[in-house]
Amino acid sequence: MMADRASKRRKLSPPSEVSNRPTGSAVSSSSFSDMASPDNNDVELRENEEGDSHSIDDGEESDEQDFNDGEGNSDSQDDGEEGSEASELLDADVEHTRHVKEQQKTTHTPTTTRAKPSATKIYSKSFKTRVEELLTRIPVKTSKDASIEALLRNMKDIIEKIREQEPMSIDKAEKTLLKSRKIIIPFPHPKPASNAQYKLGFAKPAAINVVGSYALKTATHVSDRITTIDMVVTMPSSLFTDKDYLNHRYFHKRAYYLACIAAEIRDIQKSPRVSVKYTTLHGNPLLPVLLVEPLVTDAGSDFAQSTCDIRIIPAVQEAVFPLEKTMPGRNSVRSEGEQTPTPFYNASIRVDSSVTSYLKVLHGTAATSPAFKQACMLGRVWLSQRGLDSTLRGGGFGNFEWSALLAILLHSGGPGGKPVFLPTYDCSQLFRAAIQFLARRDLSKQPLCAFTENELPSSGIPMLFDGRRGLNVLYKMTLASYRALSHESQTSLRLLTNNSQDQYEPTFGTHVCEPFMHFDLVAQLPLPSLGLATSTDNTETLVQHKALDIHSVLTRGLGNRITAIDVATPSCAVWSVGAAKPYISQEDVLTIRLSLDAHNAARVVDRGPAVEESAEAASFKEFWGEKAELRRFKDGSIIHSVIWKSEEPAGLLQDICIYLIDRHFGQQAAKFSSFAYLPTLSLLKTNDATYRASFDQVQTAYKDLENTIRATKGLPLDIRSIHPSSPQLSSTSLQCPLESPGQPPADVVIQFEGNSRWPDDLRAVQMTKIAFLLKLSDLLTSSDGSGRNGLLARIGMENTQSEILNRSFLDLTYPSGASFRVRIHHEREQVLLEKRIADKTAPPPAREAAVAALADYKRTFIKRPLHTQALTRASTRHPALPGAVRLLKTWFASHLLAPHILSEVIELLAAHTFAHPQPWSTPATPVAGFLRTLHFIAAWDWANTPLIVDFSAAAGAGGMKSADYVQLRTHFAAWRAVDPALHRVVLVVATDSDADGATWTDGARPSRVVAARMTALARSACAVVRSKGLDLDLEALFKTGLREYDFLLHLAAKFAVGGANGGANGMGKTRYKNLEIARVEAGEDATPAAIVSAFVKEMQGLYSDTAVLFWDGNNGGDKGVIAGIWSPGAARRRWKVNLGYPSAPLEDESGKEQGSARLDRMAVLNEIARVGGDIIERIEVRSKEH
Amino acid sequence: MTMANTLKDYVALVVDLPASHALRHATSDATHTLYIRPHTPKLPTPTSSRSLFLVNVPVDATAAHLKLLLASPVLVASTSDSSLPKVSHVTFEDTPPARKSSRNAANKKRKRGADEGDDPLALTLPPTFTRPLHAPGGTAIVVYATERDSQTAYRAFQRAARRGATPHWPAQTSLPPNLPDLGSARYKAHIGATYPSHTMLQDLVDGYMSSLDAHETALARAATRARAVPDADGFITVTRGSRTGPARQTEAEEALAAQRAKEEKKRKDMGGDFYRFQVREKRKQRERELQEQFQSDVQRMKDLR
Repeated sequence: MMADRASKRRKLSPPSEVSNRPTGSAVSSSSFSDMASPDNNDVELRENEEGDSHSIDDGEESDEQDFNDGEGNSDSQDDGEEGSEASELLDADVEHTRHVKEQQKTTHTPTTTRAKPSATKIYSKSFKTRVEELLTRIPVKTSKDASIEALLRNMKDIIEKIREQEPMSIDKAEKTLLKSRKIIIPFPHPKPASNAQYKLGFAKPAAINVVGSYALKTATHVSDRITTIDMVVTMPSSLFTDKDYLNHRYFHKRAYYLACIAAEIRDIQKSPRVSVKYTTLHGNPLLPVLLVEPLVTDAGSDFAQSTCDIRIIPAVQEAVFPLEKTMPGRNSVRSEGEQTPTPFYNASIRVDSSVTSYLKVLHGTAATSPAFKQACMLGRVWLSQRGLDSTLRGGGFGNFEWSALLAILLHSGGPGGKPVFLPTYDCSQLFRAAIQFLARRDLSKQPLCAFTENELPSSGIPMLFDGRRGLNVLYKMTLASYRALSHESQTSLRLLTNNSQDQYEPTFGTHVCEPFMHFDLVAQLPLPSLGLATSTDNTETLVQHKALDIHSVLTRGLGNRITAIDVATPSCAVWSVGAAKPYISQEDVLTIRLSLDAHNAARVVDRGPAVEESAEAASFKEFWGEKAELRRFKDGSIIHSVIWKSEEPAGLLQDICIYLIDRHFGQQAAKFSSFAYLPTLSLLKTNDATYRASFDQVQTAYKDLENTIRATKGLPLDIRSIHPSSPQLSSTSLQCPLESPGQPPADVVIQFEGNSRWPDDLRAVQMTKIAFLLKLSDLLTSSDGSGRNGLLARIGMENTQSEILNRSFLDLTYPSGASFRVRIHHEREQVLLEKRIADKTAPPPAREAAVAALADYKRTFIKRPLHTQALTRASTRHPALPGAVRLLKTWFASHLLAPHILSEVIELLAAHTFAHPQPWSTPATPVAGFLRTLHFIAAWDWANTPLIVDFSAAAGAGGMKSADYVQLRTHFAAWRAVDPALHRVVLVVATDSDADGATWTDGARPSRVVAARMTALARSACAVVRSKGLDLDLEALFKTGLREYDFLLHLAAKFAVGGANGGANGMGKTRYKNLEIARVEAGEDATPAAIVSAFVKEMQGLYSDTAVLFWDGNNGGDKGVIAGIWSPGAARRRWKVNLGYPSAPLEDESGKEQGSARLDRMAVLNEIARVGGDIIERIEVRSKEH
Repeated sequence: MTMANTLKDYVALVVDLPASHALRHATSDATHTLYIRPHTPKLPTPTSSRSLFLVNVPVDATAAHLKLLLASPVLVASTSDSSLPKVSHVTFEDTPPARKSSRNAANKKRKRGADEGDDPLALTLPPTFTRPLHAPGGTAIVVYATERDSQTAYRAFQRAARRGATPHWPAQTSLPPNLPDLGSARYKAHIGATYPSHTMLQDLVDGYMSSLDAHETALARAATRARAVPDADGFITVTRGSRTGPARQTEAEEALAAQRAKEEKKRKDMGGDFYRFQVREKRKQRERELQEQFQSDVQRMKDLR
């Protein structure tokens, strides 16, 4: 069918001769790959191409269809599932199977409104296949299992053979261990009093088990992380008394037990040799554990090569401490008169008590629900891509919590203790259901208590309480980290319920937690500057509290300027068994990460309470200090408010943060806090406000122009429409229209009412257009003497080589400097051109020319105004879009790619990031938008995937239908079928309003070489972003590299003027606008930039088969360089007349090369030098002549 | 590097290029190879017998350049002739290889200056470049006064090429002073020329419009005549329109399109889901499509791996 359509398409599309130009660029594209990295294989093997399959299932016609991806395994549905619905939690697709089937079983009620027509599921098939593929790829290989098993058994033997220790006093125990074994007991804070009554002892462990992902066989290798094998040593109950759960006694005994094990493992070194260290379990200071790592010196062993660590965790039998005593609401650390609950402490005890129990639960679940293990693995991938883990720093929701959540919800959690998930779910359903649970249910307001009758009161912290084991699974989560988790799951859920785009890549394939892509502002606060006492054992808890304080202050102070805030504490320490636990070091920092709200972040005034509300006012003043002031606003209200001032939103936020930290946490903290955000001022040359003002001015001028033209009397025909058609009018042009003279005017398309008096000949149409423009210009300028509004009108010529392209335009310049270029849109041109294309008797070149002319017509008069309109709308919706577009344009220009890619393509690339932000949320700052666009470009497999920008989806207007996607794909397939070697269309860029996809990229713009270079550059930029992390210097991404080019044309100083302002030394730059007008009036359009531009364009046109020229599209950039590479296709071939490039005969010594010629490179360079004349200062030749 | 002095049936004449300031650091010599042979077009023209055909003409070559170059004393150094015959004129051909036939048309063009009236709709806008460049590696025809001159010159070039003589590409100073400059001046002039004066444009447009009017009237008259007078085979051309005269082509087309649309609509109304069998067929069609699509998707997923 595809082929069918392709052939049909071929008929519609221009004759294929156009693409078969004898350029030999098939050779060229491969030979260029030394500078363009993604070669063919690479492109094909990459895994991140967008899946693009359409599932066959279809529920359009009747509701008897199976709505779940053709998963018609009705046999797996047992009848006991009725009533087990917790449907307020799960209402999307996951439910559909059940839902629909129940309907079948019971009555045929017409309530199928929930069932989406699954024709929209065009990607889901591919999602499933790719998830399956992922699941085969990620599990940790079991080839080294034997050696690891041996090692574990070894450990077990050692631990079991440890000599029993009679209980002895704390003092004695500590001293004995230190003296005889050089081991320090890792007592958590507070350390036991030396005169404590209880005694520490060691006895043979009750059990030794391997637990966790290794035991469950769900260990995965995402990234290069080390796999940790958890080994639980259950301490015998004989060591403990009933009351040991109180006042850290249990933890002290546990620490001693651990120290004994540590001593033994360290001292009995069998092969393989290991190193033994202390660390804490997930950063929980109460729970020290042992970390057994392979010794680096022992590189030969299997263990050293296996990237596995073993973590030895002491645990206690479940029944030793009664459940009800350690409920989250109980107090277990008794001090005088205080009875506040100690949920964290209690949960830490429950963690140790329930290890084996959870092991059983997870194994049991894996047995009953076949997809459980796979869903756990998917969860691991999802969490790790988002930087979430079980540690206190990582948010406290990691692999264990994920598995526990799944297990609990598979057994319970619904109303009446019924399970929320069904064991028949497959892994993607289970995954999606879990994401949905996390996204929809706010566990901090609506705690979930499973396996228990009595509900726990909501205490404001997230709560997922396992009543059978008495543990709040989320006990390590703070409100902030919980918010972050639900934010991530909401984003993913939105993605998973929207079938119209690739779901796999953003969900599992993207490294989401890149600081500058994920967050808009990152700050680091050194811990010492916060005034924390660094020399106590308790710092970890103190730091936790401080982080919470900072979080609450910033949350209050920033209000709706931010959408997410996250305060991360330093990671957990690892220390030697012979040393005391290290204190917080000078380097440790608190990391504050903010996501901005694009619309509110730049707000200058924070309004507080009115003057009458005294209580609130006092609190407001208390909070803001001297910044709070009483102001009277225009609407007459007198309220407390705070005023800020800054040029960039991120800078403004930084100011506020520093002020708040200063006020609430001391000067030191504010002084030493370092903010990492990326300023764009130096790159874009103008700040946001100037830029915006400049565009507003142009908009005003445009409105005025429109009104003036519409009000003009005396035109032969009425005006039907006037459309803006330029990036300057959608606030996305690189330079500010009024700040930098010498730019081309902003395009405007004007259409007159239809009239049958227009001539029937394309050339005559062009002349008629000139006549209209003459009339318009006369009317606009002569109506009251020297020109209304001081308008200056001139008619210009373009496309002088062609008779059927648009030939004329009218330049209108305002005294303010705003200038517009008016072209006349005449609908009949299209008909005439189409007729010419259809005319079989016409010579092929004439038809080719007509095809090109038609494409140009559509671009200029139809697509570009539409594009401008769409982009204007998108810019108002996303305030950061114009900035991102400008950064991206700067990037393309600084890598000398700008002239090869139409600005519309660049704009669409950026708009894509904003319209389809998954897996992130919509970028709020230009930098985030820019970096994510680079990330997209780096991953974009343009040979196999079109870029589809759905503006309407972002506007909430429903988005594209699946039929639209099918159509786009058909177009794409057709292009690839017509032009498999990518000579003509390389990138396919379609939008919801432009299904063609080749509007902006036809005619090898960019060519394959340039597109490959774009990808290579984006990849290396992304690699830099990733490796630098917070130390990223944005400008480094914009450094022009000239190494790869064959020759460089250095422009003469007069023409090469660094930067965008075109002519610092007199020729182009005018400081005053009236001078600028005078310059235009005098007809001095020949600015250096214009001259260089005309020169390069002519040269590229002449030598299109010989060389590719790279330049910044303006005036050669700071270096004033135009770079070029030779096209290897022209290196040597049989000579003929009209080769299209200067040639020299090859030597015919052997007679082999008789009649062959090579490209005469020096002759080409000489020609360029002669034509360029005084424009070129010097030509630098890099490659050897051969 | 020794160069072959012939290529196929062409003489390969190596031309020394003047030292370029921009390329002062370059190591290799700047030369340019011209390929010359007698002009033998498929359809002989009156001048073809006394012309030479040049290939690989530099982009910035002008008639003045070639005239000077081909009379260069280096080429005659050892012949008995004291000087080479003079070139009478030069034609450049900037035609893409696809258009073989147009070469002849271009040849004729000069001749039929009076035929310009053939195509009254051809645009007559002024050129924007003072000195057009040629396509790289392009061709030119050099016409001599007599057939004998051209043969003499060709033999001289053959000898010179064999000898390895390298004539010099004329430097700026030896060219006529009225030749427009290259470099920024040329582009400046070009940019200036894209904005012709209003009066000039107005005159052009007025002239064009009157000839267009005349042309259209003539066409209309011809059409009127066509439907009254039988042609050579005795047929009368049918043209749309009222009694007063044939309709404009546009109107005729519009009427046709409207009629087509009407028919299409009718067809559509009849088809669709009116009958039961139509609904059934449609559903079957849909199923078939889905199946095909599924197959192609499976195939694509395979390809993607």
